[in-house]
Amino acid sequence: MTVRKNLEFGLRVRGVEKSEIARRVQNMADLIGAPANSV
Amino acid sequence: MNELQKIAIGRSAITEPEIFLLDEPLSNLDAAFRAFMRTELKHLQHEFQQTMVYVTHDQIEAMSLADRIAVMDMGLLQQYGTPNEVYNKPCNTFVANFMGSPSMNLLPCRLTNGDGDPALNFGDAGTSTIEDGELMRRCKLARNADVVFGMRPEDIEIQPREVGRPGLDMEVTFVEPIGPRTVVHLSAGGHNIKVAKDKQYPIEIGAKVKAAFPKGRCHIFDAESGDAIGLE
Repeated sequence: MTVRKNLEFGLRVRGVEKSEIARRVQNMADLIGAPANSV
Repeated sequence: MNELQKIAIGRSAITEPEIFLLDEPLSNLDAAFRAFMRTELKHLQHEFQQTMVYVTHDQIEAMSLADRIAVMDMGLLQQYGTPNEVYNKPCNTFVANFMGSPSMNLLPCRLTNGDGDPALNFGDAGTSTIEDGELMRRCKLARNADVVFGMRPEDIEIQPREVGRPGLDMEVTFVEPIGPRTVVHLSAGGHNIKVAKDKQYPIEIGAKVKAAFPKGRCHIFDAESGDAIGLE
């Protein structure tokens, strides 16, 4: 399971918009220093 | 493991909760990783700017991460304060003993008033006068009582016995060189204490020394309740 899938889970189940999810996942991945597409 | 832990926190943080509850998040990491993740967590908390309630049994984690520490024992709140307050003004013997490594020396003794001023009677280990004004004030609140005298290992000074200062004549029983510091074990009359000195501190087992108690560093607790006496 990728970092992206992990991070976006909470937002997806809350029905957040896709573009917003992408933005916040990218921010969080940068913050914790884990590339979003890595496993 | 390190990455998984960070992602787990990121997965929670991304929904921007008002508060995080972290229950011993680092307890299953090895010592080196734990120290690293401690720093990472502090950094992340700073970035998120959100409150974290962090449960730990590790007093170093508590001291290094917290703005405020709530010390619990058997489900009861013992003390709530900044790391500095909790470490330097422990409200009872439980907190005093729990915070710090090596932990605070806690010596049962009896407060006696010889010539009017109270002194601390350590039984076979002898008696120590009190020159510390603040300690004197606190001791006067509990004359002729059984108390527990407390002193942090890093606060005790090792001096030649001739030096006429408050303290106890003791003998070195063991020396632990733990890298950054040397822990010197002293014993007299059934009392054992630990003193933390600099690394490569020159001292031999069997040396007869005085464990001197500097002013402003002493703690005094009620023997029965364990509560600090006269703490302001």
